[in-house]
Amino acid sequence: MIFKSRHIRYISLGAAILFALPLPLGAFTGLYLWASPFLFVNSLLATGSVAILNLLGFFALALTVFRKRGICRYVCPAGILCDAVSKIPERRKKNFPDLGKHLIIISFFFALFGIPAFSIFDPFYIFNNFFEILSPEATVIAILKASGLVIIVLLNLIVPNVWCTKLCPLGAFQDLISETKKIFVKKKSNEKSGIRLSRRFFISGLLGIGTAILTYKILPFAKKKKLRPPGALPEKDFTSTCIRCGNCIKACPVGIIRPVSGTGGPVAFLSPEIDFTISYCLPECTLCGDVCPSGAITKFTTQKKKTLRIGIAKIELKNCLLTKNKECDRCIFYCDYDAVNIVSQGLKSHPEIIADKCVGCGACKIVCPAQVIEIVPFEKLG
Amino acid sequence: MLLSKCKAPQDEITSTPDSSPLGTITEPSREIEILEETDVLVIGGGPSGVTAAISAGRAGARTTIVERYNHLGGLWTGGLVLPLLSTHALNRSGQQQKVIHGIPDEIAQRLKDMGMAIHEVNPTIDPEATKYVLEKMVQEAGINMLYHCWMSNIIVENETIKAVIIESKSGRKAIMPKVVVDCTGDGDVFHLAGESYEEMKYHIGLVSRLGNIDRIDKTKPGYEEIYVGDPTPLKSVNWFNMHGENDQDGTDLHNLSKLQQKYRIDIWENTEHIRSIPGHEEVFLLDTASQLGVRVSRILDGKYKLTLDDSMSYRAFDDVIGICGAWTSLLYNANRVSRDNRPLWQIPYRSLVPKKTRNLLVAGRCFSFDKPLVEDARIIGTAMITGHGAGTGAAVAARSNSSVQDADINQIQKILKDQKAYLG
Repeated sequence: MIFKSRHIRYISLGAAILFALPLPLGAFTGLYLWASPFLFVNSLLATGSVAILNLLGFFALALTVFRKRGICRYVCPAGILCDAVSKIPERRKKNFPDLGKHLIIISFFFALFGIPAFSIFDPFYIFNNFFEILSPEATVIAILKASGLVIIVLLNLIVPNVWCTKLCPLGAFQDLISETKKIFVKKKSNEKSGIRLSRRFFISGLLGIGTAILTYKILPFAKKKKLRPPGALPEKDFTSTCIRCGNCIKACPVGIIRPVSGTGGPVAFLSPEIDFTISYCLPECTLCGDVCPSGAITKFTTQKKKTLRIGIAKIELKNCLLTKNKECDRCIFYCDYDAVNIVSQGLKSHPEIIADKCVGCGACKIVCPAQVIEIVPFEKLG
Repeated sequence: MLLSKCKAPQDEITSTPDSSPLGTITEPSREIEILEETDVLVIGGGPSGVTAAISAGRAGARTTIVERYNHLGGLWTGGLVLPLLSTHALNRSGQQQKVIHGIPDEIAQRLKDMGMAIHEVNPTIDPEATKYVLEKMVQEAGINMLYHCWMSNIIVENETIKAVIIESKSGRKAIMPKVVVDCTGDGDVFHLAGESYEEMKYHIGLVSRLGNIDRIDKTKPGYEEIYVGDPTPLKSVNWFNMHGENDQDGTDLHNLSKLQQKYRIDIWENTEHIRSIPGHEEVFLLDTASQLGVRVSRILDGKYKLTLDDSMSYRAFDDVIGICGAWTSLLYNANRVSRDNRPLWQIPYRSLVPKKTRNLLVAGRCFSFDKPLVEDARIIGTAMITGHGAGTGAAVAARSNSSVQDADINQIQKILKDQKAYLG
């Protein structure tokens, strides 16, 4: 039995590392994030929608019903690491408050308001982020994101098992399920634990709601529209729902998704935006939607993609070759959405963007020989 | 996996005649006088046809050109599409290199020497000077010239074109060729021969020229800058390009007539508008093109269809007959490739060879290529490069009495090199 479970752990850890590495994994990019029921419930509460891959999180959740802290034992890569570190020397356990069990409830109520911000304490997320350091474009931001795992491992070196038992919201989530199960299954002492549970829900829930309202009041949401991946939620919901896992950035086959830098404001910081300098959004690609575990980028099909707007093309006609009677048709030739029309009046012709059809994929912007096309965020007219 | 734009629908191959509500009438069969026998018969005297004929003539073949208008050079001269694109492209060492050599370069060089070509890269030529140079070269090569006649039909036996029927003031006549080169631009010959092809609707314009450009008075009160075309070797003359209507069928009689009518009026009225702006009073409409600017129509589905990949990857062909350049930007593997970064590209003999007909070669904008390549395949330079290859191929096939499919490619390449073509 011991032999067997150890093996499951190694396989889990190996798989988690594989999916977190900056490899061209396509739809499997950051797959392990989907196994976290904490992220799953957070995104479910925040967006009210689920994707097929959420089944992974659902199964993990089911596991904990039958096996107490089953995820920590077999699945969670951070947990397996922390466990290994905690075993090294025998040290005195220090008293530490059970922050995790409050954190989990605060987080869920927070998420109910559309802000799954506490997802950043998810151990799968922390583990996944560590590998950003290996990406070729590693920056200060990558170092920051990678530091999470280092911090929790160090914490465990100082106070054995402190992350898993006291702090981890996913751990606390599992305990919550076990406690709830106890109330229904066992009759003994259920009254006492029931009261404790409801008290915790009441206090932490209020705290969550309070923070959510404060967050909305304080933070400058959606000041300026940005070019978001296709299928992104409306700007305000997007910045609050996106957990900055970087899956879409890693998965994008043409590398046009980038994290918003510090100058983009505190709210949008690290959220993905589209940068059309090197390439454009391929009509046949759905990867950013496929790999988004938070629901900030909704899943879409290539058919649906024709209606998902990143922005809209704007042509500076003054320097357009066609407008100057030069031989050119590049924007209309490469438009996959039939969104460019060439208007001819007498001997004069100029390209025109059909606003209803243009999704802002950027193909025309990239190919334009005169470089006179920009993709700008779409603002509804009137 | 990504991106080959503008994929050709498979079911677009058509050769069914339009059905008229008025029904049909049977033309009685009749005997047709044989006008001549020839080794190589070139249908169309445009950039591809004239190059094909000169190369075949120089290779020793008895050669005839059938031309519907009164001049050589087709769209390049009478059509007033004056720039010779694309003479240059990037080579493997990452440097811009001249790729158009051989007969096309000889033509350009003669024009330069006459002061009738401007710009070193992609020269713009004077159309009348070019008609003159082409006429001289055709005569020097001993080509038999038939102006003012249309190829109207072909007689095919055993997948071989036995006779080509032409129509003219002298009536309906037959020419008995060993090999035919389809330089009609629209693939009129391969269409009649029952070869498979794709059709592409594209924008059609009508080019014109303005005179007295050097007399524009910029100091005149009320003068404002307005587009008056692009320079030509004659300082008083500009050529005026027209994009024209999109998605036009270049082989539909009614459509062509309708466009012709519209453009005739548009050009005159545009010139009037220019003349009405202070300082432009002396500008006048010098001429309009002798034919509509059909950019592409039928595209042969030949033995080999040249692909965008081939043109972007320095693909080398054993049966290369010429190398082309690039003149505009495109998207490749989801990336922008600007004109200056476009590689030179080879054209294989097989892309001029139809699948069935044993004595037909195709040159000009209707040779066998994939639609994403259209911007580079349909231009004057490429037309002349394919013409050079097809003319030589036709001469070799005629001399050796072999089918064009079996013509000795080594022989063809040897003659092309002797004629100073650049094969890499």
